[in-house]
Amino acid sequence: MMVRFAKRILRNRLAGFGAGLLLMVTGLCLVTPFLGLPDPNVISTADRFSLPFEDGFVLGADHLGRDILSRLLWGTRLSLAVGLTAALIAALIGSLIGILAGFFGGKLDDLLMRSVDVLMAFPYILLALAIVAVLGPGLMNALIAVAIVNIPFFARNVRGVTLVIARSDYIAAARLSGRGSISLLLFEVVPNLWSVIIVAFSTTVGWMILETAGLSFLGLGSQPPQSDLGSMLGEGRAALITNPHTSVIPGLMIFVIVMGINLLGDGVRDALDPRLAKGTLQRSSPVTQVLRTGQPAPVDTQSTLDVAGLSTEFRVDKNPLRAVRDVSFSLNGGECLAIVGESGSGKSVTALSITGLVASPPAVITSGTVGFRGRDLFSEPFDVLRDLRGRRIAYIFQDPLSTLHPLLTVGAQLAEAMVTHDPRLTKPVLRRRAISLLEDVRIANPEHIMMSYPHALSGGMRQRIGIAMALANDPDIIIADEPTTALDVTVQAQVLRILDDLRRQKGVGLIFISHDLNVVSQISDRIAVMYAGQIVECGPSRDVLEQPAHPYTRALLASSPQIGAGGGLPKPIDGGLPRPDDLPAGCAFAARCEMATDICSASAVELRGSASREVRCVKWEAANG
Amino acid sequence: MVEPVVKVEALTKSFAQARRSLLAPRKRLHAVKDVSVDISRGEAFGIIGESGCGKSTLARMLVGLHAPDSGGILLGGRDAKTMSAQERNRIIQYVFQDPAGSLNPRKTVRQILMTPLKTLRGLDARAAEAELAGILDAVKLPTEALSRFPHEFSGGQAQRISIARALLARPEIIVLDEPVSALDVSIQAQILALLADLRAEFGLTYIFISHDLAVVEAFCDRVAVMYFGEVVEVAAANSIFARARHPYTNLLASTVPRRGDGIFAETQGELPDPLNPPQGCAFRARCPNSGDICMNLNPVLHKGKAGAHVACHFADED
Repeated sequence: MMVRFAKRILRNRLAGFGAGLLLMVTGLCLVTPFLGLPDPNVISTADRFSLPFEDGFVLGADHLGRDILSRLLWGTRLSLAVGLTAALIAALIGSLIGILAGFFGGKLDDLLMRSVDVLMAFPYILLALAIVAVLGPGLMNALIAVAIVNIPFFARNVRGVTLVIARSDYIAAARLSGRGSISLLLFEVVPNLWSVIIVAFSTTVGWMILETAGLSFLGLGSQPPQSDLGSMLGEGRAALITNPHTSVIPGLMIFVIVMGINLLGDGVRDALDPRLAKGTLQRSSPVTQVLRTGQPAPVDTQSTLDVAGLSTEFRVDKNPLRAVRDVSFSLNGGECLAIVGESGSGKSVTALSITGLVASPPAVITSGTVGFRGRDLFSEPFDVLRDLRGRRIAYIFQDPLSTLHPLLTVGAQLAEAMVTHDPRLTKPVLRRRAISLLEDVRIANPEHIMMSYPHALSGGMRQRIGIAMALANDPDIIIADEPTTALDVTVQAQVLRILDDLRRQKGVGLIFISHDLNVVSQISDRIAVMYAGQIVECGPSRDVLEQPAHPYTRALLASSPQIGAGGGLPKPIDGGLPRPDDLPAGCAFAARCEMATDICSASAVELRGSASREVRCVKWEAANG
Repeated sequence: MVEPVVKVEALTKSFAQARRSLLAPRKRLHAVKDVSVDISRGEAFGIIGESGCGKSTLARMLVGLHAPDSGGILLGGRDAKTMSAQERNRIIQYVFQDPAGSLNPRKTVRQILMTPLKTLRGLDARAAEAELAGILDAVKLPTEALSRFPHEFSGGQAQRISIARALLARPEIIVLDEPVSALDVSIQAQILALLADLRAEFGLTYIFISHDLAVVEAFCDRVAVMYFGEVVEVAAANSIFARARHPYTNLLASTVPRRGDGIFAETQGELPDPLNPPQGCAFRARCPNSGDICMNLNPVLHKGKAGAHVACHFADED
């Protein structure tokens, strides 16, 4: 565990460099007493301001003729010790305040956090100065001051995270398992806080060393003749012009320490932050990488959208995750094709691959063509693709809140969507069009809704806005990815009605992606069923639902309950999906299939049949060959 | 008549909202209003409704995660208010909707499952180990699962762990709060089958919260339909949607998609504003047969002709 963690930090080269610097400095500090250095406090006025390598002083001597190397190393020891201790104290007290306030809430939270707010109301260094002024100068008092000043940072960070954890289901579950408050706090909450506290610590300790040095520099920290980095800098300041080495040397040391700590701290943060757990943040390209071997086949010019032999994989580890394998379908205006599958079947990646919206890296389109009105989109330059996205091919997603801008009104976002593709539109035209779009999605009071922000709207209302956005540029194709999954049934019905009317009245081609066969049955003309990245069956909706040909389609139908069916519990499909990085050579469903025999696993199974029904099953082929 | 294992009487819960401004009065959001239900031993009792109808708040009050404002809960004939939290949770347990979110990410499955054995049942290490082996077998998980962390499991497996945790308290009643909504249909059916087996094996009573009519119809014996914090209909699961007596139940049953049917949708229809609840019946604005009486008088749940309980002024006029 620790080794893996260290490896993850050191993968970041800068963090490794920081760790190296720190190791060197701490190493020097540890061996200082055994180096046989001269006493750092012995004054020898004859040697004042000796330069480095002069008279036996390795780094020269200061204004009282004291050995700078000796003072520097002893001073670094002191500065590091004081800074670290202050940081530990601040982390301990601050975290304790944060944990108690976040976990118990209510009056205790008010009391603790308002006190912390009071601390924060004073400028940092002024507060530290005030504390030292009250306690009197001295290294110990400087340490106390720096610790107090930094308590709010820890308290606020830790409180925020504690609050989220305390409200989580797993805390409620542990409470129901019989844990009392104290036991919950110690055994369920605190273990989840370590990473936050460590990150906060590693990113602030450098700052605290600087603050301690600052107080010493002002003469409020370490008292003469004791040396620390701040006081050395303060003493050297008077001779800054005439003898710069007396201040440059301690200055450099501070620089090296703080830089080392900060680089390492950033590395620790990156390694511990769950959002960055899958490696450092990568900038993804605006379009999915296309690496097709050989010359792509010419595209079909008959249909509006023609996807042929599309394969998309994610290159993360040694074995690529093959998310979409050889998927083909076509779609015309006014038609609705449903792509049905469970999570991990590749239905969403298929949809996003069409306009190259899958993040690269790690995604790569390895084969296939997407023909739109006779042009292969993967061969076109990026500008063409960008222009088609949103304008000719629009998307609707499951959670419209994630695609709507939280700080812009609905009207502003609709206008923006239209202006991006046609900059000549004037304000009154935009307004008129926005209102008519909202009327298209059956919003009763469009003027009022135009002025609203997305968060103020209900889920159903937001999804209507999502549809209006998709319609803004009169697209030829709309790809709706689970558009009703997050909605209640009565609202779902309203949204389905809108989508169905739009495709019939406006002649838009609709690709409707869903896991729910019952929903799909109501809106689609054709259904493509996906399993483990492949289409396993495709045909007219009624035929597929009433006479399913592929065993997976049959099993899926038997496992989805319907009201009024009266057949008791739905029938489960045993087992689970195969891993996308370790797919079987033959039929991917064979392991869960009741009909499977040895030939199913022998070799890859092709999608066979005619346009009215295509099936990827050896058994079906044998029976209907 | 057999004494019900769960008796809920006039249960009410509201939540204080943040003030809009410094001087504005604090508004209260009424999540559950005057709900009364009896649930018999061994029954699978469904509670259905759309988001915001108060079904989860009701469920959380039953296990003690929320304290009711007023009203009473009797568990096995005893007033829940007189029980300690531990006593209560030995009788009634809870399974959450989000399988991964209800397992502490820093704990191994063994640690998670040991908690109820040690704190609720006070077992020693040897007895606890024996229980663990048995429960994994019951929820069909391999023994290796014990030493793994929650993130190593799929949604369906994580839900099996949650169910195991609830079972280890040896409760009489388990509240299942949308236990299969986050799962794929094939896995959903696996979990439903498992729950049905466990109910027979351990003689459990289930309170099954869901928004999915088809699942509730297939899984439950009786169903309560909630709308805007109130129970509007209680009836047998096999007839409630086919012969809906309350217009809201009817609306739900007709909008739920069925294979081979077209789309049926209301032209308009949203929930009333919970901070400014309407006078009279909360459903009247969406109701096709509302009359004058609905504007002034909120109908109460009463026993109708066919044995179902309905809260509608016009329910029996057919």
